[in-house]
Amino acid sequence: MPARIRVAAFSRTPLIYSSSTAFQHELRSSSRYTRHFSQSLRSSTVLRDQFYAWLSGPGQNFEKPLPGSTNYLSAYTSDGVLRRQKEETKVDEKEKSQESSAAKVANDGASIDGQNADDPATAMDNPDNTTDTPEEPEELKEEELENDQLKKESLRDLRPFPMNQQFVSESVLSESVREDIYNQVVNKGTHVVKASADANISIERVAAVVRLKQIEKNWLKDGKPLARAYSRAVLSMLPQTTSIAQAHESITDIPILPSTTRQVFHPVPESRHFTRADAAKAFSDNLKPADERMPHQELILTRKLQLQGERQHAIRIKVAQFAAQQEKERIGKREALKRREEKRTTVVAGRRWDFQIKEIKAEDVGYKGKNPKGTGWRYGMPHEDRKRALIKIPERVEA
Amino acid sequence: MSRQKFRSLKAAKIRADWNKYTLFNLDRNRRANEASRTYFQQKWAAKKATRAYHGEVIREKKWQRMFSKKLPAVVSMDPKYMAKHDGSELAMGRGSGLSSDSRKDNKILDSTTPYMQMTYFPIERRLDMAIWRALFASSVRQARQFVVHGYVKVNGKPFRHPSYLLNPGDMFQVEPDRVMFATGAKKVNNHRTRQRMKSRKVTAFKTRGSKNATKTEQDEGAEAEAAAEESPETTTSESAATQPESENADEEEADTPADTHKRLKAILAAAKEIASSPRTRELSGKTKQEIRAFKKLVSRTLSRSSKTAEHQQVTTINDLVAQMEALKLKMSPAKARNSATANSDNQSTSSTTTTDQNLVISEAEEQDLQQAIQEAIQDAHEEQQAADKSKPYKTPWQPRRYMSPFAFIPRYLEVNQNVCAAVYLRHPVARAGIAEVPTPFNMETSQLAFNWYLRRR
Repeated sequence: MPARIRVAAFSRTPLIYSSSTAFQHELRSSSRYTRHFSQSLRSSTVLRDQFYAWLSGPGQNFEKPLPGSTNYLSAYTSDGVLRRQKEETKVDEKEKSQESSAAKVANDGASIDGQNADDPATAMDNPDNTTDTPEEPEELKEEELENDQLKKESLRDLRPFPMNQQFVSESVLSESVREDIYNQVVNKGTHVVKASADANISIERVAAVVRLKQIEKNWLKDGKPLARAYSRAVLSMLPQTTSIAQAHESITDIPILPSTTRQVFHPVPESRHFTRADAAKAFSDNLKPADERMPHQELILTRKLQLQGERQHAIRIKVAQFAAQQEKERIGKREALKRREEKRTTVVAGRRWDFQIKEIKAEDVGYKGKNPKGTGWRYGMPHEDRKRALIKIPERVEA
Repeated sequence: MSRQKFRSLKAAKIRADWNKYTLFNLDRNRRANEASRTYFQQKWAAKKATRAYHGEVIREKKWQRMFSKKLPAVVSMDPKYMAKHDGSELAMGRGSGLSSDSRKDNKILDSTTPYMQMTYFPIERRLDMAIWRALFASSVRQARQFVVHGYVKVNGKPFRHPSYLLNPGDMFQVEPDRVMFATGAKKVNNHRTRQRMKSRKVTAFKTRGSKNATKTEQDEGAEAEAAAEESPETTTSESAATQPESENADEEEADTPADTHKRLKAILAAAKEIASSPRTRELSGKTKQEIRAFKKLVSRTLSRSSKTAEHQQVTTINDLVAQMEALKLKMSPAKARNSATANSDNQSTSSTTTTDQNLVISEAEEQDLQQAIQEAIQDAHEEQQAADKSKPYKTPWQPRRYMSPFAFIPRYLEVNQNVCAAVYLRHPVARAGIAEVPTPFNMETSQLAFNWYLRRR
């Protein structure tokens, strides 16, 4: 039985939004809730009002994207103040007199009423402006000033879900980086693996970037309209990796296999030199050591040679040889598979099509006639496509 | 799945969409003390909450079959560390290293891997979910609708199965217009607002003192009446159809397909004339190639004119005319320049080398020209899109409200927004400190949900 958690995690009942006392004050004093015919409040109406109060209060920050930055929930306090900005203005706030703090409370109230469409943070900075509705050009200027001063987001500001600390909105490749990668691979002819190691972007991603960029180029050539406005807007809302020199992601990941997640009691003499290769063997006979499972094994070799004090030129040659050898092995494996498949099939050339014939054994169904490797329908067995819980749609789409 | 309670404030559920209700529920969702509840109750509540977000369209039985207790994770290896050590330092002494120093060097061992947040990883493989995660739709249900309605391609082929489980390396594309619709601001489709806007337009027309003002007003009045009766889609198509007859105030909209075809043909004829004129023989190879490329572009556009939409044709025509003007302008100074260089080269070297040089330059410059033409076409498209009544979204395009707090793209996808295409690189994984499955719930809730599904009921 799995371990029990004593402290429960999720509340089924909705929690009343109670970030500022001004909200509740507003709700209580509102004449909309004092009904002539009933003394009790309908809870749903209260909830709805809280919802709209939130939307016109802290929720306003999320209606439109924050220019030049991401705009996630956890970047704001529950009052709707941008945390980064709050930290910056903290020092100034201390210097301010108590009068301004009194004005601040008034501002909060004003913003909740929905009269002031301004950002609460801006309202806090200049209390004089909030008494009467500010003019548009002034508002714009303020916003521009803010964004110039806006700090870069920290990890805290990049969490879209305030409850989930383990999920972070990770950066995406910017347009310029995609273009650079495409140039590297297609125009300069750099090998995908090399380009991946140089740019610190995983091999699959480099390949995908090139593939998608090629489609974009084709569209451009055909004069097909691109979704540029969409692209610009979306990318401005996301954290970006803006240069190839920036490390984008880890390129040396190895999957954790189920066979390695168990604890193994493997006694060895103390004098034994027990390496990663031995550890892999202890887990499973077929398991390769981490050094051989890792993508970009040439990086280990480079470091090793550097530690041995080899010259840069020699290192480059050796690493290139190693990479070439690996590529050869990879191609060799693919070819071998192909050859094996060819050996299994007999091709009979027809007038319009070639007939590919493979040998099938009737005994493959096994003793009970239920082995899935068997071919053909057997008397009394239900058709696969009629069975429950079987996937009846395509499982792969050939590219 | 009842429609009424999908976004309730009372029984608040976090849904897989970009709705403001979802945002509000996300913001007020806090941990509560549930010590008084039984373990079963806790698990039930966690399952209920998480399933409302993860694959809400999937039937429970199907999800139970998809569920896997083996959660994928990766470790990031440090090549520097691996080059320095062969792993024996961790097995020294009694089997756990001689001292804690060797462990200090190894950063991997420090932070934990949040496996439990990966509970719903199989759902992230679904096509509809991936489309939503790539920010091509505003909710999973909308993504699902796009697939079913045939706006989605997988590996370049039309594909209509929203429950398709993507394989690593699969590419999916969504029709850009649908994406712009899904993620764009809402079009004002209110009849009254439209009437107001129309009347404003008519008064503006009157003040200009045009002869056709009264006629146009009548026509627009009739159109507005029709608009009141019909659904938005039909009205737009109808008004587009009636426009050429009633209006001649707007020059661009007055073009019929036949007209555009004629204009294209005229441009092609002009281009041919330029190319075959005796003056061109004196021009440099570069300019000649430019002219040839232009001719080719025009003929290609002409051949494609029957397939493309009318508004697109108008832009391309305007664009082509602008290009032709530019070419004509270019021809005279280029001629002078060419003759000057030819003279100077004739003095020093043979004529063959000069032509070669010209060709080399022209090739590079032709690429630039091609790129410039492509850019110009895209700009023209964008200008066209800036105010396009026929679009089902507000133009010029703006992101929809409350989109930015939901805008993130997980690392297992690589997205190209320009063509609205994405590649599913690999399955989502957990790594030290990070779980790639985007879930709004905390680790304890996910763990309770995981425990619920550990045993089949």
